[in-house]
Amino acid sequence: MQKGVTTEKSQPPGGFRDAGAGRSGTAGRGSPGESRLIPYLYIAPAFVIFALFVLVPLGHTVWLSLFKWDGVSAGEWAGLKNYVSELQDPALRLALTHSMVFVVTFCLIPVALGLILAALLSRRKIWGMTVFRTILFLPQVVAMVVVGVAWRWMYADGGTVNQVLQIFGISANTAWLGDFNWALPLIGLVGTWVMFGLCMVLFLAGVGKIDTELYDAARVDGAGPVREFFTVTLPGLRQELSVALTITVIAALRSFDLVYVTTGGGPGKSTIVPGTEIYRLAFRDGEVGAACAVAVLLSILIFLIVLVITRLLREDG
Amino acid sequence: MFTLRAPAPHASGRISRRPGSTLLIAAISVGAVTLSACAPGSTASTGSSSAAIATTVPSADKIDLTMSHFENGGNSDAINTLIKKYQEIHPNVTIKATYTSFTDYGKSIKLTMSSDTPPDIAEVGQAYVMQGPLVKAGLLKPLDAYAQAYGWDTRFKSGLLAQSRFQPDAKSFGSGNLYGLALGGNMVGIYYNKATLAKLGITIPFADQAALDAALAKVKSAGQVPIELGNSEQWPGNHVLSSLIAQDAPIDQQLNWIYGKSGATFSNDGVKKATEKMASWAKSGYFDPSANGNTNDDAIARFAKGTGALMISGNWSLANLAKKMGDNVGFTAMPPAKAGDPARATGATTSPFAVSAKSKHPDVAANFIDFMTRPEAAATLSAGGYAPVAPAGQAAAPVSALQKQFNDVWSKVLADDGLCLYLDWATTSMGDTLFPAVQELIASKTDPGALITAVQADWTKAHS
Repeated sequence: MQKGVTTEKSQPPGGFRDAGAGRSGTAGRGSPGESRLIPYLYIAPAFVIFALFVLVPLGHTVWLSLFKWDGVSAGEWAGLKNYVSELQDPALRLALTHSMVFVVTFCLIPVALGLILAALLSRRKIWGMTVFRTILFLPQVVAMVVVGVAWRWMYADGGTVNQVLQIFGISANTAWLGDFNWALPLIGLVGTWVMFGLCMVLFLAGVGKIDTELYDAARVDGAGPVREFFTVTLPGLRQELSVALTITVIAALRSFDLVYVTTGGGPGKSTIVPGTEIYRLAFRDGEVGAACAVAVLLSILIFLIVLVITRLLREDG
Repeated sequence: MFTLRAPAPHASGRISRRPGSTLLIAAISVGAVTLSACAPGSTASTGSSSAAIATTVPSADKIDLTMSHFENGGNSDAINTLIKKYQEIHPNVTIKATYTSFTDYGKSIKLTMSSDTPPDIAEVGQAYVMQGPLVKAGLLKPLDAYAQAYGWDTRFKSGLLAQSRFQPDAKSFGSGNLYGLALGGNMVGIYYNKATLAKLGITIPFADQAALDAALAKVKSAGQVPIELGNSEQWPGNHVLSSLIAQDAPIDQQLNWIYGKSGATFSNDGVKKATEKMASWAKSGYFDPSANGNTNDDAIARFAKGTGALMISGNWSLANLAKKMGDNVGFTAMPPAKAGDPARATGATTSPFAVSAKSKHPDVAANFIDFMTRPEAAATLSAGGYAPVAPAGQAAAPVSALQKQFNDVWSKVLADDGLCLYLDWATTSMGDTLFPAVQELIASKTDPGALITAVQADWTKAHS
């Protein structure tokens, strides 16, 4: 017991209650135990569900990643061996390289396109905007598996893509997804198609929020469209940019369904991604532990990248 | 959609339930995060296979049997017919069969069999994907005593039973305890477009590989696609390679390698010759140029429309091709290296039916499995589209012309005990090593030497 604080028995040790300048006094009234528990009570229902269906499985995945386990018989403690062997696996490195291609096509290109369009559309009112927005957003609504199947047909040797090329006098009979060089970028392009509408809609909503006086001021000061974009639009879209980058980068890194229904990782290993590797290890090769290790590594990677994105685009940054 | 059985264990998806979800729920319901105390999975129960068995069905008690399988269409009808017949003979026995599509079956079988109430009889595919883990966990009942009592070893060629045998440690198979019995078989051969071959003056059957090569060259020089192939699922191309290997490598060498016998190697002269042949076919443009981009179903559709003089595939494509092409399609064997060599083919039995180690009525379960594979059942099985595995009683049921051609080749291969099984059975990860490499071989992105080295490295890693 410290000297000098004996008068107020209910005060917790350390006496921080009144230390915070902006702290509201009302929360501190009454029993201190109650005041601290009540907020937790408010989040409890959501948190319990979150913990049960997200945190516990996550912990369980980490736990399983420390075993050599085939999914049925008794697992064998492996420590970090799964991590070591997976990190040394050239297939996983190849898969991560492909993921980087997807980061460009799922994330960077759609965000860039979305920004350009938002900048253009913000300068003047366009008739039928809602229709455009809906059409461009549509790919987001369709299930990824359906998207994959549809594009697989379009990329087939007698598919839409080759028919369109025919119109321009290019006679191609390639089954594009069976081509070792084209398969990966073309699947990536599907990602662009899916993500681009989302980015644009996000940015257009953000642009609408920007005070038009800022644009007027910029124009009065003689700013051209480019200057206007960098000094008004872009800073105003900081939050939306952060959201768009986060969503698309996660979609790029965890992509599985699209690859699975279009090529399954082939031809050869030219389109394998971490998602297909996890699937292969867990459900075909019977290496559940190794699959969990890859899943944990992928989660860490996604977490780090998202952390960087949110840090860089913080409101007060 | 047609479900592929054993030949393509890697063809379809098998994701759905988290494998550890039961454990997870258990952990939560205990209400403790005491996971650190337990390792995942169950330990193998000590097998008591030596207990006395009975080959008679008790007629007094009411007996309920459950059975899980992934047979559909005509195959499933045949099984239901056999169940009905069996129940007529044994009115006190009720057999409830449950069908699950192959795609889902593969994902759930481990959980189903390790649950407290597993089916008494379950269809469990050979090799390491299904049978191996279940044998290792002690969830299947060894059937050797029944095999002896019912005389299964005289009813079937030894090669047919060997593929359902497993070593207790589940590290190798092809020998050891017997864990199931199959109803039918599947096999790869050559489908041909009758009109195209007639126009080019090519005669069937091919006497030897030289005759096949000459035919392919003739089709190519006529400006047509010699071999239709859809290989985007990655496994169909492998059947072309393995059919060639079946002719070029001695069968013992192939089986020892698939069964994981120590000292076996993929790097032998026969495999080299076959792989080089396939690479040369690819270089000569004998395969449909879109092979790696099309699915097996795409290929069937194209072949039916006249693309490709030949299509190398198994009897899983038979019904579809017969329906689409009618009388214009025929089936013939992959020719031997030298005319007169014994008949060899890529093929195996269908997935065998196994008995759960937890079954309360293993004797009755085994009795029903025996019933399904007796010569008397062969007619029912053929009518359902099965290629019967028992030598006796094949002819009976009326079948399509194409099915008859297939059955002729199948009988020859069975008579010579010449089924060479599927290469991806060799290790759990073999499909993932071999199939992409075959895609590369078709696109001339790898050479035979590199393919063989990669495949053998996978084998060595698994069997070291």
